[in-house]
Amino acid sequence: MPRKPFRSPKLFSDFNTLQFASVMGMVVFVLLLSFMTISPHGQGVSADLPKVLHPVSMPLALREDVMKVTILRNGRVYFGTDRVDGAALQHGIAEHLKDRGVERKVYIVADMRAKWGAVKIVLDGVRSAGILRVAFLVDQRRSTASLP
Amino acid sequence: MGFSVSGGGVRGPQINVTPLIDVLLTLIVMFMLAVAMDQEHGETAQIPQPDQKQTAEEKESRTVVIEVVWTTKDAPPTLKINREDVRWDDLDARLARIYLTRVEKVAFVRGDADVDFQYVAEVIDAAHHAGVQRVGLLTQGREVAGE
Repeated sequence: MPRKPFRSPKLFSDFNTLQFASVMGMVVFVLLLSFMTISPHGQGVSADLPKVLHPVSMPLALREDVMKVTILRNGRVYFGTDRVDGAALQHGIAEHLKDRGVERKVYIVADMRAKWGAVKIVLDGVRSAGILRVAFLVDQRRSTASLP
Repeated sequence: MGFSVSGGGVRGPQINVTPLIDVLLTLIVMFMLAVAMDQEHGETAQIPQPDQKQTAEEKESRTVVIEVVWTTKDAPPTLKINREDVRWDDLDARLARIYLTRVEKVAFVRGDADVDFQYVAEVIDAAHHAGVQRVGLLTQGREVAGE
C-alpha cells in the first residue's frame, strides 16, 4: 500500500514553508539590491571616463589606499571624496605619502569633457607634491569608429 | 518543487515562492560576477620636470611633442607632431612610423587649456599603442621644453 506523503500534520506543522520562503525571498532581494547599487568605481565622485581603444588594465587602481583625484566636468576637483583646491590637494597628497607602502602614483579620474586646463592645474599640484607618475583612468571603447 | 496547501483551507490560495527565489538567486550571482569581473583600465603618464640643461637644439632633434590645438568651440581640436599638422586618422600610422626606428620611446603631449580631456586621453592612448613607453605631459607654457 503506497504511503501518502505529508500524512501526519503533527510532523510538518512546525515548519511553515511559506513563511520561510518569504523571509528567504526578502533577504535575497535585499542582497540583490545592494549588489546592483554597488558600482566598481564605488568610492568617490563619479565622472564620465574618456573612452579609448587600447587601455591597459590597472588592478592596483581598485585598492582602497590609492590616491585618487577626480576632476569633474565643471572643473571641481576632489581628492578621494573631499573637495579640494590647489593647496589642499598638495597637502592631502603630502599627508597620504606619510603612510609607508603607499604607491607613489596618483590616479586621475577626469571627466571626458573636463577641460585640459583644469587637468593641468591638478598635474602641477601633483608635481609640486613630489609625485611624477600619474595614471588616467579610462574606459575601453568597443567600436573602432573614429573620434567623436 | 511545489508544496501542498491542501487541507489548510483557512488561508486560501498562496503564491508558490520557490521559483521566485530561484530567479532572485540567479540574478544575485550574475550581479556579483559583474562586479567582480569589472576591472579598472587606465593610461599611465608622467609629469616631467623642466630640464634647463639641455640646449634647445638637442631637444629639437630628439623629442617628439604631440600638440593638441584648440580650434573653435564644438569642433575637434587639431593635432601637431613637432609643429607639423597631422590628421586624427593618420595619428596612429604617423606615430608608428616615427617610433619604429627610435630607441628612445618617449613622447611629450601638450594641449591647449580649452581642449576637452577626451582628446588628450586619445592622444596618450595612440602614443602607447605606437610603442611609446613613457608619455610626458607638458603642463607649462610653450617656452618650456620642446621649443
